[in-house]
Amino acid sequence: MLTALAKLLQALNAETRPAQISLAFVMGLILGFTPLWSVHNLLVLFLACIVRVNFSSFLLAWGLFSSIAYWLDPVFIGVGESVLNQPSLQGAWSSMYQSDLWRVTHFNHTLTMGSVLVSLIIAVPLFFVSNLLIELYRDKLFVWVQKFRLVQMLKTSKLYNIYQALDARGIV
Amino acid sequence: MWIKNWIRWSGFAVFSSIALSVGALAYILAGTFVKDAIERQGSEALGAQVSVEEVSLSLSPLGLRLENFEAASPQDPMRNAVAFEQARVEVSLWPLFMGQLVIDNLRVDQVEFDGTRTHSGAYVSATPQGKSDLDSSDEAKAESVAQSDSLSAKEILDREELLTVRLSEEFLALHKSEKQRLDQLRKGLPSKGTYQGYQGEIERLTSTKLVSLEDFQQRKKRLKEIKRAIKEDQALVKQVKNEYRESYKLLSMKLEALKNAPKTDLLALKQKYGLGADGVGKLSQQLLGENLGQWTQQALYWYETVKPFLSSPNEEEVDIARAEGRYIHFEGVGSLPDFLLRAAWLDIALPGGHLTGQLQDVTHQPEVLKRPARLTLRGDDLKGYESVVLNAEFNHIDPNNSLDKADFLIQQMRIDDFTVSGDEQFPLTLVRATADIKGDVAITKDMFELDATFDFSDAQFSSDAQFSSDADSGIAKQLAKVLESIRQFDITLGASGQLDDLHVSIDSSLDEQLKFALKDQLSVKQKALESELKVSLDAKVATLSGTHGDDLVQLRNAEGGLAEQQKALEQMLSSEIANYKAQLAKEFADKKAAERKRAKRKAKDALRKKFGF
Repeated sequence: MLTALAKLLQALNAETRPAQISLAFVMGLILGFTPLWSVHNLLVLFLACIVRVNFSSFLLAWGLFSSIAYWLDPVFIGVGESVLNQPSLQGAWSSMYQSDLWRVTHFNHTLTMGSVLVSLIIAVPLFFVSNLLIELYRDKLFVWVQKFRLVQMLKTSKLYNIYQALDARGIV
Repeated sequence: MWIKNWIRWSGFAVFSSIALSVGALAYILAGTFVKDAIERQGSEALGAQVSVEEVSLSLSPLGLRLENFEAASPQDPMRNAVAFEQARVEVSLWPLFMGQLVIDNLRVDQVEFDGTRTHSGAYVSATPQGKSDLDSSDEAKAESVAQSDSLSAKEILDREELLTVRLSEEFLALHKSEKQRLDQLRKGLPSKGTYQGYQGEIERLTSTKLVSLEDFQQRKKRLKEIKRAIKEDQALVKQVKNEYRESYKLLSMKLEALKNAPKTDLLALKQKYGLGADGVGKLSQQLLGENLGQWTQQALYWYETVKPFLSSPNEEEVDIARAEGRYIHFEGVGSLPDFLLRAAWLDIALPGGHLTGQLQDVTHQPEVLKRPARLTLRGDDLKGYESVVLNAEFNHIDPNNSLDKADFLIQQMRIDDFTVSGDEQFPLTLVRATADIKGDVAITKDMFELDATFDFSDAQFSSDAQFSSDADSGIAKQLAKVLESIRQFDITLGASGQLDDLHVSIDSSLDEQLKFALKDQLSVKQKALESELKVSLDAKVATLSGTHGDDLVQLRNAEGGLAEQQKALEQMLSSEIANYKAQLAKEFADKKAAERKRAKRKAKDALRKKFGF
């Protein structure tokens, strides 16, 4: 069981280039900030599975941004209310509302609209900032972090050992 | 190459397993989830236990099946308000993806109202309850409006808000405030000591002889000052006296109105309680009021419970859950609300058979659907009824101009052993009758209008009253006899007004029939009651006007006292000072004349000496 889980994690976490991790963060951000049961999140999850992004980073970002979203939801709702009630956009919203395809996206839901807009605005800078930070981490901080007691303890765990063994055998 | 760098094919398997797991979990847990939601939210909304034995999910067509649903009655936890054996719900799949729950078809079988329960359905809310039903004061009002009216004079006087009592209270309050004001004014008037001081000084100034012209000038000046002071006091007394007069006038007017109040009260009571020369009044109201009041109260309770689910809450009431957001609906063809029950097919089980019907377009957002909710119910060949038809429309498309209306027609309803009056002194039962009932009801915002007519035929009344030998019992005996002979009558029921303040009127041909048969006996009885009322009201006023009359006499006396005071001051001014002034003037003139005489004599003597006369 643990071997299968480790295999899956290895497969999903093989993508370790900075861009792959940053893209995972961006996907996690969208999934975390916006209401879970939405069509666009199905698409995000699908992309996270099939595009070569670092899945652990995706899951981590999802958890992290979900917690932040709890506090930011009122802001998202405010943004959504304001955008959807913008008089100059009423024509566009009304014509979109006539289409079932658009309605499925829940574009007329204040929280969905607000959180998607905010996520998309943050996504681009997040991608580049993450890239920069990952490179900085690998160059300057990696060796220092390896010395942490917590990291040492994690390295002795059974799951980590299986993970390493599979990696060494080139299975993943 | 590009594809290999960016796409991992194993991801399809991961995504498929996640999607399948979520789908399977949803399918397994949906029943439990819906069951819990119905029971929890239903109980909270109703204020009584709502339970459902089993909820199962079906995929084709997408829907749910509910087994053995029970909603306890909030008034009587050992009875069910409504229960049904089975309900099948068919849900539209596509709107679900748009966040809308659209029920295309709901079929409810074996609906039963007011059935018994095996265990108590009392519910203790976990959250503080809002106003979920008519509050106790509303109930009390509704009850008091339609309850039968007792014919005891004391009870009538205790129950009614009498003008006599109100005016008496007003008079007492006015008298108290006026008395305080006048007492305060009176305190500012000069005291007896001041008057005595004036008199003493005048006496001192006038009783001693003038010694010189200077002395005269000084006394004259002082007297002028005293005169001015007296005049000022006089003006003050006059002003206070006028205040007393005005106050007396005002209180007399109020007392006069109070004396006339019993007449007005008696007239109003006669109209309301149907007293008067022609005797009977609205006996039907007294006999049937209790039952009709209870029915109206029960109907309004259910209407108030259901009403919040038929329209969007007011803007002020919208409490958007901060973390949930809301759907904004735009104009468009085929716009659907967040929840819609397109059609529900009902099968209501009654003791005498089944009522079948259809409920259409039920939503809490009728302004989006732009169609009113409709209900039709029909029952033919029911045991005890020839037919029952009900059509209702609940139109809340414009929340500010909502209109709910219904019409109903019940034909050939058989009535057996219906308790018309449970009064211990005069129990009355309608042993049997056949009734045709027709009516319509309309509710615009909070205004209620009901018109219903009941045509009874083949009627048979019975009263088990034990009659004694007094006069009242004689009338009751006669009444029972007349009622027992009546075979046909009708009742017209009308109710209108605010939902929490209904005015119910009941007219019946029974009144005319009874009036005709019992005119003489009841006329005597009603006249006795009328005279009893008059005596009681007059006694009330006599006691009040006696006390109040004394108060007015005191005011009159006080005004008289002030008038005397004013008069005394006037006299003081006009007699003592004026006399003394005249006396002083005379003394002064005499003195001047003497001095002139003396000067003349002196001149004469000087001339005589000079010329030697």
